Amino acid sequence: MAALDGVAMGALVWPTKRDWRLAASDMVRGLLAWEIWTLLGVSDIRQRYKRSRLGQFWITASMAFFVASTGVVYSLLFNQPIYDYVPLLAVNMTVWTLISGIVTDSTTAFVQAGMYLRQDALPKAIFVIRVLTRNLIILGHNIVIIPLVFLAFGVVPTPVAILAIPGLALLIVAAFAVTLISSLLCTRFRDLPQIVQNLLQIAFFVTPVLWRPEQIGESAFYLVALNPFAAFLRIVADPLRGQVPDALAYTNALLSTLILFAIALPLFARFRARIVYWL
Amino acid sequence: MASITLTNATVEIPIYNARGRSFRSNILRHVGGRLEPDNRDVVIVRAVNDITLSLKPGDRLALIGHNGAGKSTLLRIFSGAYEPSTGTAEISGTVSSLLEITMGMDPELTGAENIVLRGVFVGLSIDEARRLIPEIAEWSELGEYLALPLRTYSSGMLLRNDRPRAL
Repeated sequence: MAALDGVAMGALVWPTKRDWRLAASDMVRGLLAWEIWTLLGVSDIRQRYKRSRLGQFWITASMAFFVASTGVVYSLLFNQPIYDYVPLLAVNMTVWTLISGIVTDSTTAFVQAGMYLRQDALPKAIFVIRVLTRNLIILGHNIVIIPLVFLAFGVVPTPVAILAIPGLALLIVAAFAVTLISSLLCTRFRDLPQIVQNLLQIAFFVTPVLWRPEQIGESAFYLVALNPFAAFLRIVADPLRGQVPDALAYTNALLSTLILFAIALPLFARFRARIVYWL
Repeated sequence: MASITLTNATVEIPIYNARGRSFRSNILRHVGGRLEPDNRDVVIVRAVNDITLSLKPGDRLALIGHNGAGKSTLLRIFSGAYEPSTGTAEISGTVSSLLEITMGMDPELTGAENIVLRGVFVGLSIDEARRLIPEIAEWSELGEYLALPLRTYSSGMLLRNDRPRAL
């Protein structure tokens, strides 16, 4: 923490009462400013696809291409029936894209908002929630794939699918804390986004996105049980495929969320006011 | 009642070089032996030093000083964008600031989109901000140019686009 500040060198300072009060007010005002973060989130997407004919449906199209091509190759590679594997992949990739999109975007949340933060006393939390909004819009475009794939391969959704909603809610809550931590540290340390990107790539391969936990047997137990990415993936993806996520996934997700907040809140309270100096 | 109160406000801005910005070298400096003094990676600029003042409605304050004296930094404190690194600044009421030529607008967004965004920033609803567009189009004489991205504007046009704040 000493290296973080650069000004109060050497002193590991716990946030003061005033820090906590200002941080709490920042978050409350940030959450209430829904018009700002929806506007920012929507305009992010609009801007990205402004000059293309398909517009934001490029999101949907590229997901469809990915699922179709990877689905064929990996079902052959893993020797899995295609009508089984493609629906699994479609669901997993949709949820994984949400997770990885949030983590990726979190690294630039404050840097990208520099022009606003240097000028106005806007709550910092707005720019954290903007990242979530943006990625939920992308999820909205990708999720269209799932019913289409289910229809094509004759998968009948079960009422269990409703469990995906609380799963998604918990994922978003945890994502708020992740974005808070990552955006703050990435503003201070500019090589961190590259490190995060690398870790995310590794996470993609050790998390059961392209494969099933059963496929690598006993040894996968820890990989899946202890991996928070796997837990959040499963509490959203499993119900969509008609499977009730096991208690382990929920326990892992809940504990991870608590730990993330235990880190995010003091960090934000302590360094919230410094963010603009780091830009 | 609107007011601005600064108590012993000091702003120290850290300026980092590439090494000071690096997570890797910040970790590695705590590992193994040390060959060089490590405190050169951050230069600290004290932009505002120990200011105490209080402004009430009706007060006018002019800041005079040479380049780099800290006038803009002090204004950033007044706007609430900078919080003093030591001391406190209590700002109640809303502050409109004109600090940079881009004035917190996104060059990639169109004039109209920036107007809505600025309007929402200062506390209007999206609908209220949208209703301002025709009026601003006329008043600023930007007219149809409001549909173009801000980066295509000339400096004069940029200034004229910031009406929600003026309102």
